Amino acid sequence: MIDKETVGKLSKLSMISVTESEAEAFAKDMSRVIGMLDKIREVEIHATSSSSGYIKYPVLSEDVASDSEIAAEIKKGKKDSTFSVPRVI
Amino acid sequence: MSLGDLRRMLDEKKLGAVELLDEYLKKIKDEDGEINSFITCLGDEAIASARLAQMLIDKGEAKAMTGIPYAAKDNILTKGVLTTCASRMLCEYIPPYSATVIESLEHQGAVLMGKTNLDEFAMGGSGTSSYFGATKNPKNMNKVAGGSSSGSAAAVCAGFVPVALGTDTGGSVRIPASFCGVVGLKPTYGRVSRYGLVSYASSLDQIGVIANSAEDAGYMLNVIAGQDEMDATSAKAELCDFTDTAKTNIKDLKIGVIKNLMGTQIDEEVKLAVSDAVRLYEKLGAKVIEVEIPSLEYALEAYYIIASAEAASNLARFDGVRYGYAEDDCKSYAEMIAKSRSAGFGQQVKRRILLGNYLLSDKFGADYYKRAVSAKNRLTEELREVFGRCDVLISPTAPTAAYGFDECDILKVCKGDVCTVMVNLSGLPAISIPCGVTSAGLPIGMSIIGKHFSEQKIIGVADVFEKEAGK
Repeated sequence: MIDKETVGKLSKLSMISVTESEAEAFAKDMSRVIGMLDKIREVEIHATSSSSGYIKYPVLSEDVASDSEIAAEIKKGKKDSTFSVPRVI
Repeated sequence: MSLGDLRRMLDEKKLGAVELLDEYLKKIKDEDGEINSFITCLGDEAIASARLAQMLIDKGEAKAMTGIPYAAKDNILTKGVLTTCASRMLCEYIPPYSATVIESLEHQGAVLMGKTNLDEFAMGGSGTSSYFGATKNPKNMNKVAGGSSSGSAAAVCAGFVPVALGTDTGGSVRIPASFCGVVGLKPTYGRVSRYGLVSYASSLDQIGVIANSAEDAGYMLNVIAGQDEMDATSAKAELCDFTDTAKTNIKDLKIGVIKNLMGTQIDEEVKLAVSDAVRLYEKLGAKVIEVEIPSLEYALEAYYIIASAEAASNLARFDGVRYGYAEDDCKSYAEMIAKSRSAGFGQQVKRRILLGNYLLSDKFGADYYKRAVSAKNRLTEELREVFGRCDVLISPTAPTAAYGFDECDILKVCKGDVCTVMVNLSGLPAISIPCGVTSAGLPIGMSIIGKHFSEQKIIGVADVFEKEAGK
């Protein structure tokens, strides 16, 4: 059962402002949906492999860190309290 | 008229590309006011595309879709053309680039006629949650068109366009196709690039086709299928002519009828129509067996948990700063985001986001998500075993025919996905074709499900039914 207070917490987490009457309606609707979804609790958790093994994904580039020591480069463009950066558009 | 027939008429100059487009545009102008299948109908831009297409045809450089009009669901990005996801959040969004599927069609000289209505952000099975109003079913205006690709299905059904793109996360191509009496093809996950599709649940979303026949669906798939370096989940799978159905041999075909989807949750008239269709295949020489898939019992729950969890993450980007509608007159950054999201999203979307965050949160949701993923993996394993015994599976597409607007109860709409979500959870291809009508004259859809990347087979099997049932 989801109450208005839980909806309030979820709305904060979701960054969606919800009025009092909306919270009431969401609590009612979500309780019904959660009631339906509760059946999933009968399923045991298995550490099975991913089900998407049928797809041959392309070879991706290696995840290697590149040079990120760019502080000195950025400082070169300092003007008072702002920085001038290369134009990108 | 099939897409192949249109191609021949255009090539033989029995029909001009602009003339063809004009006929469709006139029909939309006259009849779509009530149906509400289009959010954006392109007039001048479409005519300009048709003129360009005609030039290619005249030069003898026509490709399969040159000069043929199509529509795209309004959650597929189209450069320079409004893409709203049927939401206030994106009601003014004009994308700076097109989805790969749109580019593929443009490259062929296909004519984009407009963007079709949908359930907001593709969340829903009825076609009623659009910011731009519900889509009505052309077969019966008092009934829903089904969702979420409501506009694409209604537009093809009403004869506004010969073919349309939809998207399918839990049945969103197949269900409206079933309700409107047209064909809906959901390809294998990875068969068609998702680049430029506004994400709802990325592990389940797939772009599909809504058409007047299985052959037309295959014709369109020929153009949009293929690996795309812009979508890391698109697959390197062999391509073929998906309309080449001549190899389909029903006599050697092993059909599995999914017993769990022919039970009490399915309307009697729907079961009868699907059983009759199966008998027709049997008469043609197919071997029919009943199969049971135990994990189907949890498929709907697993689907709603995974889809809501992914939606909550995917829709976090719509904050009025990175994307979307922004509220003025706010005292802080946090207030601006919360108010923008509250005003920009409709009730259905907000509910899914709240639900997704509930299911993912440690305090409230506990292990819903882990159990849902376990159920999904078990279901996929069971289907792999079943496909060792069968070539295709058959089930109803939806438990009922189209229902009334006053019957859109939240749980009824959820349970309407019971026959379709299995396909998305396992990444399988499926096609829904009309297989009968109810006593009230509403269409009934049947789904033919295949192994991964077996679109040619399921299109062929569907094509045989269309031809034999039409005799």
